[in-house]
Amino acid sequence: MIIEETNIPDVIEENIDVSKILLADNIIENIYPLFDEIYQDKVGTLSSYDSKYKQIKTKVRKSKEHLEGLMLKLERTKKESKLLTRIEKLINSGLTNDGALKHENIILLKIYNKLTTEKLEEHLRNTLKIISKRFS
Amino acid sequence: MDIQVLTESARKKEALPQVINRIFSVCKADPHFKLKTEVESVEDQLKVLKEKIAKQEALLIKSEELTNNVKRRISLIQSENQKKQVELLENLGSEL
Repeated sequence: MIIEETNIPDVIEENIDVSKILLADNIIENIYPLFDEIYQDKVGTLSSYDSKYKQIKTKVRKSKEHLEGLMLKLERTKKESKLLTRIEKLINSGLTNDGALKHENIILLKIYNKLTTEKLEEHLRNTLKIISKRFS
Repeated sequence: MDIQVLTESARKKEALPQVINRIFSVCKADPHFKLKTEVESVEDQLKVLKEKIAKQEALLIKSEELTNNVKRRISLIQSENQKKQVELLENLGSEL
């Protein structure tokens, strides 16, 4: 049996309370650094996860902005498609046989994808008006 | 003699949980022990943060899927528009 010498006094009936306190202090002294080490470790992990969260949030925000831009582009492309369908209807119903309207539609077909959205919407309204007039 | 040592050792082992409980009872009363609560609090924060990261990651995956889908749709409509533009110009006796 190996006997380890410590500074903890031998427990005798007179000093049992002192012994308890000494033992408790000794235990606390040894346990406290362990908790401190665990705590510092956890705080470090928390900090790294916090920066990871910030990074991913930035990524999500950028992705959202990109998607919003794409949705606007999709809407614009759909409007262009609608305009082409209306021009097709004008041609098929013989409304473009008129020289001025034919020339106007040729120009419109050549530049429709370069128009501002406001101009594109204006042409959509105009073509709808002509078609409605024709079929009313 | 050996049997006596073994019996003593077994008795010590049986008493060990009681000793540990007593140690923790004593430690809990010590102001230094508040670190344990703080460790638990950090662990809770870490758990919340991990859940938030998982949600953001799922969102990012969905966003990427949606982006690709929208890109595909735009490309498809643009290609149809281009085709129709050429056809209509031809119908009107013109070309690009």
